[in-house]
Amino acid sequence: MRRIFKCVALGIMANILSVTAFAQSNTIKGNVIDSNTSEAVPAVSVTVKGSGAGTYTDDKGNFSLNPDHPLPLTLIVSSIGYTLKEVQVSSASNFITVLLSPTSILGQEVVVSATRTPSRILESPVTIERISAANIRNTASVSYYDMIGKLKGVDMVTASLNFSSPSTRGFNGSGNLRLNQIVDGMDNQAPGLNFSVGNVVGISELDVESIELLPGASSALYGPGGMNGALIINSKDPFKYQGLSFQVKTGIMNIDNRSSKASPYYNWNVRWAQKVSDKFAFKFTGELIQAKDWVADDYRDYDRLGTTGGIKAGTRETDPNYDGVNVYGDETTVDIKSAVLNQLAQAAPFYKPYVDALPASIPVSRTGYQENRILNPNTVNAKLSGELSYKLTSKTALNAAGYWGTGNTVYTGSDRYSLLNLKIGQYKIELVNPHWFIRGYTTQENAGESYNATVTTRLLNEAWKPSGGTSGWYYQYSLAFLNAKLGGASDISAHNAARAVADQGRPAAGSQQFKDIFDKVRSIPISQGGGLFVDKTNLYNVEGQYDLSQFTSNVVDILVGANYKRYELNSEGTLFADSTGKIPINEYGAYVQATKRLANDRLKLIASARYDKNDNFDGRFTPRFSAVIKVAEDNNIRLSYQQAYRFGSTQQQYINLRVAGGTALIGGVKSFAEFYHFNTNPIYAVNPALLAGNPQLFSLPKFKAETVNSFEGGYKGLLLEKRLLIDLYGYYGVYKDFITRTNVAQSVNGNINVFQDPNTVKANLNNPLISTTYSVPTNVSGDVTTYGYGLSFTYSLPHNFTISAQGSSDILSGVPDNFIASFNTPKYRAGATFSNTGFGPQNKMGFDFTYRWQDDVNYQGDFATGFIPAFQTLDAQVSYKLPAQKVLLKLGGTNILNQYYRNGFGNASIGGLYYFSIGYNLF
Amino acid sequence: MKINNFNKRAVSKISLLLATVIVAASCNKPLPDAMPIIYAGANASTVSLGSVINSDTTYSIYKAAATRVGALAMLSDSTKVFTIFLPNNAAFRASGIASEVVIGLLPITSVGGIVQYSIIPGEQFLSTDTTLTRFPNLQLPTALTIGVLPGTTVPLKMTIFPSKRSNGFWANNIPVVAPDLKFQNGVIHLVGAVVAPPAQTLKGDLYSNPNLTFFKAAIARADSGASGLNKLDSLLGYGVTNMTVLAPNDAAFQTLLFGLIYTSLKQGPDSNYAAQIAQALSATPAVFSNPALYSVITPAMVKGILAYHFLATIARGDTSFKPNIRVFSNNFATTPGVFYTTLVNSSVPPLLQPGVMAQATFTGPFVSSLQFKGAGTFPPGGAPYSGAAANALVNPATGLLDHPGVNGNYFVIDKVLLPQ
Repeated sequence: MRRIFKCVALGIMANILSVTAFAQSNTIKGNVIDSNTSEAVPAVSVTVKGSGAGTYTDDKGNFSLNPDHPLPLTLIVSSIGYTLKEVQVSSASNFITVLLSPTSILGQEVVVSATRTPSRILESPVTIERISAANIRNTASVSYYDMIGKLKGVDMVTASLNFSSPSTRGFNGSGNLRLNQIVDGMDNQAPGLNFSVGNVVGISELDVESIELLPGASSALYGPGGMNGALIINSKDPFKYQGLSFQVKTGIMNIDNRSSKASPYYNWNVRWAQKVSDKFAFKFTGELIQAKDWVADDYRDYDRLGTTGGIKAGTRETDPNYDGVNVYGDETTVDIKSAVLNQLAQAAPFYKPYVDALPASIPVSRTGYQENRILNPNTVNAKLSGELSYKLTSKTALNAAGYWGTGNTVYTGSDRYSLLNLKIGQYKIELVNPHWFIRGYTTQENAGESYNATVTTRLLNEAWKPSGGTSGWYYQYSLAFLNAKLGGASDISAHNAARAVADQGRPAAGSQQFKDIFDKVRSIPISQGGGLFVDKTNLYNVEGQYDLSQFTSNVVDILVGANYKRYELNSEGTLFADSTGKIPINEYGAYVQATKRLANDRLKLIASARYDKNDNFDGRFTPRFSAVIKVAEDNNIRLSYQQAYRFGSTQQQYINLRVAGGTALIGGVKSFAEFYHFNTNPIYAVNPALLAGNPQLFSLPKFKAETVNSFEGGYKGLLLEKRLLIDLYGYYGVYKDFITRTNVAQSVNGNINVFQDPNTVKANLNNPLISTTYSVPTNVSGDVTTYGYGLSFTYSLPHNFTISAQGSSDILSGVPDNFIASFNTPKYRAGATFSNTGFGPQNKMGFDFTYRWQDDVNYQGDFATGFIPAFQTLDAQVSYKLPAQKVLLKLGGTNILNQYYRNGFGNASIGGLYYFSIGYNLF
Repeated sequence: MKINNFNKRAVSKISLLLATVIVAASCNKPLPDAMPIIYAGANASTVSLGSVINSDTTYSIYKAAATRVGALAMLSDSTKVFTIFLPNNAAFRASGIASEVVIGLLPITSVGGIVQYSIIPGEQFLSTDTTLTRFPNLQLPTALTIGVLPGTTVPLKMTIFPSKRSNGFWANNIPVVAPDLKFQNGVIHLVGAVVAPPAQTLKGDLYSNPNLTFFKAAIARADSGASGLNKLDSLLGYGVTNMTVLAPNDAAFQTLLFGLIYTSLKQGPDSNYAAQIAQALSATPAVFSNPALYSVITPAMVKGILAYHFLATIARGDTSFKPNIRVFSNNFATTPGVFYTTLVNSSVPPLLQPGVMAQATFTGPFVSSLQFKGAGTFPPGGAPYSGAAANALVNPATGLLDHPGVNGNYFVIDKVLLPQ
């Protein structure tokens, strides 16, 4: 081991110190042109054969190269989508014009994420999906991030316009804890949330070079969290992609939206990259999205019990305990029978039999406000990024980059949260060499003015008129209810009369009184009785990797790496149990990968292993074994076994938050059990037995990391003269210690009697004065199994026409009763695409039609649980190029049938978005 | 040309295929609206209480009364629910109201009282409701408002006391002759007579009863030195309680007092003279305020005897027995040997003093005989509960045994009950 480190160190030193010292005597200049369209081709690789020297064409297709090799020499001119060309150069004085012939790129792409080393996508040992910059240029999706949701086996949960969360192989949610999102080598998660806030901070559209998606377990290379996949997004190298680019996209959305008027959509994008010299280049990007958000408008009545529940019949007028899914403030519920009427009957005993004759429990909710009346619909996302890149040697670059994003969006977690003026910055510095890298980065999160919409609205009600006390809302309501009953009213009529009395003077949504109270409440931290959640959690990470193949390739290719990660939770007591100070969480890990090619490259074996340790969890060792069998040229079968794991998220470790129905979401570290006296005041499982008045003691086991053992097989190959690309896979995963949440209840006074009367147990569970319901993270004791498969065909027709179709399935089994798995995944989904990247005169025209359908889902979320029907979407665009002006005009739309759908229960309804865009210098 | 042909063919075919797929697929289901809960009427009937009262000619007197006080519209309101102890025309006639004409002649407050006292608003109580079998009955508010609960906006309603036993169903002491006539917004129980709302407190009624002058004087004697609701007088006048008082008539008190005075005097040589004096002294209620007899008729003794005539129970969570039940004649047991605790149990536990024994005898739905026995005998010395029973006497105003008041019910009995 010591020898290996020595080699690594020597290698790094040699690379850094080997500054090239060739005299700049002969500068070769030239231009690269598309042979079909006569357009200049930017970002073409021009390298000297047999040498490391090389450059890229600029945005006008020009290149200039100072070779480290005496003339004559051979230039290799290559670019994805074109046939590689070799050009002999004997004199530097001649301007060279290279004509590149377009060719099918089907199966020719190179991916890195599957093995952390470059390899052809056809030879990937695990399933991988790739989106290129060319795909992005031709997509009908309004955002490149939305394209991920169209990939095979991928589901997208859209909490709002700017907050979509992709998932693979199940367990979808607004915020995916089982998928690593890595942007330019950095873990893109918001550290306080432990998942990426969609694409709020990241790479702007014009700067995306590629997106690689690894569905399935990926912990062996990417560390904890990659249970179900890794999404790797890479930006464009400023040395390679140069010049000024911009894109203006204007659209319209919310057409025929029952909860919102039609509204404009704006998306401005700019990128400027400049190669100042052969050693130094920089780039700056910016993106601004502005729109009126989709509206979550499910006003159906919700039967809430802790963090579970379901839709029931009822409206505000017909259910006194109405709790609309997207209506907030009505989560406050009190049993007026026990809280007021029984006391009244005690004071006026001649009414006792009459009060006794009323229902045993009369739960009444406070009057709420619909989401579209309380959340500002203006959604904004502004992203800025920049990178300075300095080549210490021809192969070693020192990069410093920063990514900063801010925005307003809505997130569905345990409640609906308005992420208002959320700011996340990611800053890194790295040394990168083809064989190694050292990288340090930090993620700085600031939740800004973000607030819990549910809690804030409940508190607004309290600020206007407190629930309790003899002048409180419930007392007024109860008296008015009894009054109406004594006037002969039926129960529901009496309730409505009582509500009218108790709600007299209630601030109307949108009124100045409403705004004043709401703004005041939302500006007070949750820990001080408001709705503001403070989240200034930061993440620090250092990591390195070395490819030892140059020393070991005779035997086996070896790759090693390690990282250290530190979270500093800082919510000032509003989210985490950190009211007394920041909570640090340290994680560290190391990995090694060995690759061996056998049987004349017909068999490639890869073994990987990784060890990680977290402060609050035992260390984990996870292996991956994979094999790629070449059955024919461009036809490979892949087999893999991999283990992945994830530690509980930062929230699953340390959250301490009261949510909508008063349920306390708490973390899994053992100090919570001590703090809430679980040992002396027992907790009971919230299950049917409890509701039947038969409480069962719940023993909270040690909170452990979750593991999955995943077996996968697949095939990827080119057939029919390389025009048909087939990719298929099947997997079987067994989760052990599956992390879930379960609800437990505790009597405030340690009195089990409050859970023993089936007539009142539910009301008692919802009465914070009597009991507390906790949502605790726990591990499922049995195995949870998932399995599924996917299949795609892509057929490349002449003249840049492409047709593809895909289908996939994911199935969950083996979840014990009463555990909330939140699989949230359709059993079947399918899609088809018909597109063209250039047809007609000079290939100026293009189009893309993408259709997707997914099966229905029984969606489980901490916020709400319910049924999501199957839905379909059709996205389409037509484009026209003005080659001379380097302008691309695009007219398109997503969900152009404008059939509103939701992909997460309680989330916004998404309709059609129609846009027109003008792009300049897109590559 | 070949290329163009291909383009056209391929594009059109693929477009057609794509369009077919889309058309074949069903549209996305719109987000459902919240589903209102449909509340059925109180019963399956489509006819409201108001309608049936309006249309059924056997209810014409009630209809006239309800119309006169504006209650008919309320009873037709489908958003409301009521229980009505409704007197049909026969019941009205049995109560001395022969026709609609009489309704028109009665003071409107009286008519309003009759109608509103017959209605329990907001709930439907069927005869099968098991709570009606509780002893002594179920106290329920009627539509008759008599004030407002202090400190609240809740109206204070005159209450009615339905009860159910194996041998009948009553509203107060009036039998239900046809129960459970269900309509869209409630139920009608036809009663055998008008259930009249009580007009005065027990104090007013008792004190104005010419046969209870000794009882009144005894109250005054018992209350010597007491204050507030500790005074029986105050208690009888307290409007929002429930009491059941067994009020011995003057003859009963005279008998007892004669005996007490005679016993205290006969220690002397001339028993005839003693009897004459006792007779003279016990002839008027002033006997209770005669200073010469203070040592014989002490306040404690009188209070002890009177306390034995106030039925009392101990409520859950309470610490002492209180006069908190309103028992009608039909609420007493028909079997012998059933005890009813009294205010005496405030100081003596039921184990030592089980209360008074009562037994009702029915003739049809009415109680024709109601007897009470005390533990003590007069003259003293007999075995407990071995003395002659006290009989409840008929209320000449109604022909029944009960004397309903705003705050309770009393019975005039012909013997004083002794606790020991």
